[in-house]
Amino acid sequence: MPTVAAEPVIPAPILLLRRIGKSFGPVRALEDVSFDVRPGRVHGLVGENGAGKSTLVKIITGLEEADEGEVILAGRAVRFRTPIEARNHGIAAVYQDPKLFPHLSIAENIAMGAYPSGWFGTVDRRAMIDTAREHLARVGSDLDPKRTVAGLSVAEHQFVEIARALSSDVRVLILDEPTSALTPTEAERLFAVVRSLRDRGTAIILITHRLEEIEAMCDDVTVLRDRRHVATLPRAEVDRAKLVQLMVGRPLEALFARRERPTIGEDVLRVEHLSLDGVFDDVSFSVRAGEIVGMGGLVGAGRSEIAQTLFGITPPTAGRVVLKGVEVAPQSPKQMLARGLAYLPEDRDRDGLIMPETITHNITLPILDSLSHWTVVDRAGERRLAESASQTYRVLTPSVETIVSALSGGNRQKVAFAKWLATEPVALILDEPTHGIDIGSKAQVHAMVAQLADRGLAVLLISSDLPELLAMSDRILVIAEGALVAEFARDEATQESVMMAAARQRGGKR
Amino acid sequence: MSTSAKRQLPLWEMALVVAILAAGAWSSTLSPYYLSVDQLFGSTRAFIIPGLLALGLAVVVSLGEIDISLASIIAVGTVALSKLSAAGVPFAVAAPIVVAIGALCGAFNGLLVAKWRLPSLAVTLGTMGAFRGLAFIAGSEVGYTDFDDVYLWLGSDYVFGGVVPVSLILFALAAAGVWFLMHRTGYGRRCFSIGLNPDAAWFAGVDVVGVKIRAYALAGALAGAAALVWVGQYGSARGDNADGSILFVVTAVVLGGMDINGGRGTLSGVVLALFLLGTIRNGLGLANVGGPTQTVVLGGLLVAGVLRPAAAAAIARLSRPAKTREARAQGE
Repeated sequence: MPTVAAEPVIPAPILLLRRIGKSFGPVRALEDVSFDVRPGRVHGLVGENGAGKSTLVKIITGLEEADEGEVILAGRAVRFRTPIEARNHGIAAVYQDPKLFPHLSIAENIAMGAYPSGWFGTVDRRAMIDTAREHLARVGSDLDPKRTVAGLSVAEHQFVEIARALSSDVRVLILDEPTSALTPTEAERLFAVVRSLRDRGTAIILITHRLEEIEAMCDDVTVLRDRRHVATLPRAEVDRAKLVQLMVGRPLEALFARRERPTIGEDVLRVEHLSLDGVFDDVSFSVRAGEIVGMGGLVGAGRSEIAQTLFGITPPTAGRVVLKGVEVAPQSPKQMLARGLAYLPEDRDRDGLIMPETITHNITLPILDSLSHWTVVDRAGERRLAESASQTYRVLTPSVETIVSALSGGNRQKVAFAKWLATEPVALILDEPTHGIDIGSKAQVHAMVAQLADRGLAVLLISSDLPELLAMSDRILVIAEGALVAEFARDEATQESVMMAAARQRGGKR
Repeated sequence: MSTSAKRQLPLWEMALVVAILAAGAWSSTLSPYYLSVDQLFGSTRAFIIPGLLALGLAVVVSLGEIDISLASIIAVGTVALSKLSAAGVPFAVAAPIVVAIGALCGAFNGLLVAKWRLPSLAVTLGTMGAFRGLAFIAGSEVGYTDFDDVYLWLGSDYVFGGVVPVSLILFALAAAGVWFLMHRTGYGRRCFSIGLNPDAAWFAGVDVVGVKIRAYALAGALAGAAALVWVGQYGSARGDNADGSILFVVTAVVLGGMDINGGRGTLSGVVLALFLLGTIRNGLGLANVGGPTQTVVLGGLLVAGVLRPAAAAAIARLSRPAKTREARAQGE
């Protein structure tokens, strides 16, 4: 697989992955991944959300065990059972959300698992602090090792994590989206450290969404897509467009049949200069009757946060929301439901449904008042409504008295749809409506969404599934780092253009 | 959780009925007078006051919250009633005022728990002390006993041939009302949904804060009503009224099948548990068992009540053949 690189001498690989495969139950998480990592080089690992990058890292560091294939470290096949074992063999990882103990000191965190012992097995605090200071200096940080971790910034967390990783002799350092929460200056400092480690002969695997970082940092790039290995190339041989194409280049599945030309009406949901301090900023768009507006972007870009602010979960700090021509200040879901806005949450099992309750009780919870006479719930009417809704949305269940947790993911999602649509909304926000459901239910959900729009509902569709987004949407908005960065008409949007916009790095502050 | 969760409770209620009959049978062996109608109705007076508290607490527990300040609200209520009595306010005016004071105390708990999202155990532990302290400060050292007979009627009189205590009728009405609220109205449904998953309930448009504050206010109002009964039963009002009775109340709610984590349970179970505990306490009294031992028995029953769901699950696992488990896996 490795091709000739531009540099004159290519060091022999230190880490070889050979045909790695992994399944979680019936779900294939990784299939046939092979590539080499060489000392003194930075190896980029890229792919869309869910492409299998994290699973691969977990296998290398011993958090998960591979079902197939081999990991070969310095010529010997290894199989780590714990991250500590991996670390003892010189493989360490730094994750995007640092896993430190907040109430312990920096020194204690760095020494974790290997406290220097003094007399009678007590911890030799002086030695521990000195070692910590030494490791921090190696990553160019002058943090006081005696400080507790709790007060540190995210960037400082990252440096402590890396210092901790270096506290053993690291031959392979894995960085999982290390800059996702850093400012550009902090990121630059981090990369200076990474470069110096590279120059001292450490092999580095850098997982990132940011194409700029690949260009600036990497010597080799491996692309994963749909849990498979697509290509490993020297960075010099791929430009940005090629990289994006490799990442998303699957054909549009036949499943995502595009809608007929819709008839689009008036603005139903209009958002003007909506902001939530520190989360998203100055977002303006509108969704018209009969229109499906797609919202694309990377995980963590702020799409769900925008949706939840519109729905009153976290009220905005600035901006206007106009629903059907009437200005609303979102304060609570109760109020927004009454105004005709419904929101299908991303985490269906946690926020969307009450799992230990029956289908009926779930569907009717938002509309109990309209089902009541003098505050008394009309239980027969409630059951009739649940039965007809289950039929309309094709919930496969023996009875509407079945507990929701006994249903499959796809059927749960249909119950969730039935629940929100029973509120008879004028605008509907769908947050990853097909996430984690089987392919058949997915097609049914798509058909349902199209039908709803055809009946005049204004739909805002948040999806990380690019083919789905392209096929379903009449218009696509792209959110990156809390800002609306691009808008595409139905005919201009391609997977490449959306991905490119989503992965662009803003120079500004966050 | 399987669909059988719903079927578990009637079974539990049956078990409570059996336990009540057994406790009654045991009591009747202790005293020849036990089975007389007078004795039976009269003995219910012993649990009317904690019973009213338990009805309110059941609503709070259905939310996944707790209120251990209710006994202290009784003291606030009795002392308030003594002030109104001393001021010559007619009972028909004084009674609603006391109930309203109880509701206010409860709403204050609710505000702290729901609006400021403080842990309810800590909040009501604090107000348990604060309310009782207020009652001591407002009330006199020796207690107030100059109640007019009208003030005592609710807690001490009997109707229907002098057999049925008036307070038992008050309790029956309150129990029916709370049962109806929890099992027939949208409000009750919202309470249980919050107890099962407060986030999902909030997403579904439930006014979680409002529902919780109202639940605490209701529990406080019922404690106010219990204060009226207290004055009738004991004819005196002092800061230490009903001190230490919260154990009985919590035990009744938990033993009655209310899940202490919220979301599940029935009011009929709570009422049955009250009868059971009342019968046991009455029996222990007839058998001359001392107060400390009674407390041990109550505490043991509370722990048993908390263990009940785990025990029920274990029994279900043992007694069910693997076949049904497969059936359940297929979605029952």
